[in-house]
Amino acid sequence: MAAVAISDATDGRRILALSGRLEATTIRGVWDESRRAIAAAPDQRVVVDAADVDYCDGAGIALLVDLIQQRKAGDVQVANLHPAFETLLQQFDAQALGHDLDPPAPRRPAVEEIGVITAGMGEDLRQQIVFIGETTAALVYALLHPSTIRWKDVWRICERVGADALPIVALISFLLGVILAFQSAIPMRKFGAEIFVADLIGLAMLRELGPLMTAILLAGRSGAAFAAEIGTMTVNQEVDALTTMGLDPVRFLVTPRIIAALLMTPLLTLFADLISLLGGAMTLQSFSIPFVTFVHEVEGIVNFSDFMAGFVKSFVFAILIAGIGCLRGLQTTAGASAVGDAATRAVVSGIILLVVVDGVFAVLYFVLDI
Amino acid sequence: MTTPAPIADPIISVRGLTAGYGDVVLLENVGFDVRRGEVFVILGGSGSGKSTLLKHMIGLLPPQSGSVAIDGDDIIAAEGDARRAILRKIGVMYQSGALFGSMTLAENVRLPLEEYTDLTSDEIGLIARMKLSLAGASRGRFERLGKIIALA
Repeated sequence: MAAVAISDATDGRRILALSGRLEATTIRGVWDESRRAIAAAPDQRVVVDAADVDYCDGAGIALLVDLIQQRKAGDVQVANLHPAFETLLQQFDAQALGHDLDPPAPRRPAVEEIGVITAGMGEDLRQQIVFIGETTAALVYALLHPSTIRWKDVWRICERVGADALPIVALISFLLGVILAFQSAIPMRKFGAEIFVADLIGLAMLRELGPLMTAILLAGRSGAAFAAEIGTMTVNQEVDALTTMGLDPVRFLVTPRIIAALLMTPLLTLFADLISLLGGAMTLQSFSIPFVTFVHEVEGIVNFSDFMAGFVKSFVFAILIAGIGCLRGLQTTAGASAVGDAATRAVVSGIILLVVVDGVFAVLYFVLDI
Repeated sequence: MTTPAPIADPIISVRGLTAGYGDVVLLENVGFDVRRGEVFVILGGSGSGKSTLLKHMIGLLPPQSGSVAIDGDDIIAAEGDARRAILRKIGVMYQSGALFGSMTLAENVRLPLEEYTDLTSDEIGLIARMKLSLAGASRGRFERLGKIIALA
């Protein structure tokens, strides 16, 4: 327990005699009482007599510092404190302790803020260009020297990117086909044009939605996984270890992932195209359009160039998803949230890039009349 | 009584190393030699630049100026195969072990052997089993294996 006895000496000084153990769990009442005693005697000098203090932890020292701070320098003195505790007390400059524990971040002027953001974007762009260069060089080297590719890693990643993604790709594609067919068939029925829903689904899925939705799913699934895996390796110094072993992290980590994505994304896109057509065909059965008629209609409207327009995009999407996932992983900084941030950035920037590149493809196909 | 080791040429030679992050200079004009067989300790408070110095010594970070020579070869100026040849002379035991979490312990041992030697799979397997047996089977095996790989 801790206690304080308050008295006034004959020379006019107020004496606060502290006793017992000054610990965080015992000083609550003592602290308030001591403060009130000092406040009640504004014209008296104060002596805090610590002769009977048996023990003093950090909280006890804080109490003494606070009592000293109650008046201007020199008006409150601590006396008879055990030398061990006195040493502790001397560690702190009472006047220097007034700073805010969590000061708000200094606000920059708007122009400076814009400059900092622009510089950050410029640095990110520089890193992306360097990464694209390194990755291209590594891929070209891998193509010229296939034996240097870590095929075991490639097949392992293929399984995770491709086979493990089949259920989610199937579900989303099927529902997309169903929804697209249902939403378009209802208004088109008013004109007796339900049969053209097959044309709509065939063209929309094979040219646009099949590759794009598959790529977005993979960006959320595999892109984030790549960023998290490589990010964790970065945090655990495994990437540093690779470098000090003389192994190129791009060849070791990025190349297998890009090759796996290049192999799997087009296959998943084909799978998504077929499943979405199946969903559309099943929905149109409820509008009295038989399966055979649906297939015949799709065959009539979708030609090889339509199919290739979507299929070619899936290769580019694969490189974007894997590349951005690996880049964000390699950019991972230190800290508890760093890996999560890397995965988030991989998904966000991956999806933005996919949509932008898809737009570029749309313009390109329009210009080329594909 | 131990006989002092004969003075040898420096195996690591740091000259005029100035390094930091952005505008912050953490190390300025640092220079020292580490000789073969010498145990060299770098002491300093938290944030004083010990890890930064080590990262520069093993070529993970480019310095603002200065040079680091490993066995007479400048690791900072070297590129490509020359750099890889220097790095192969270095063993690093990271604080976190830095073994590859996505691989088994055996694969961790096999990796550098597969990459840098023309040993057969059986020969590599034997070496891997020997190293794994050195690491023991109890707790701390992961860390011990990291040391074994760093020293090999």
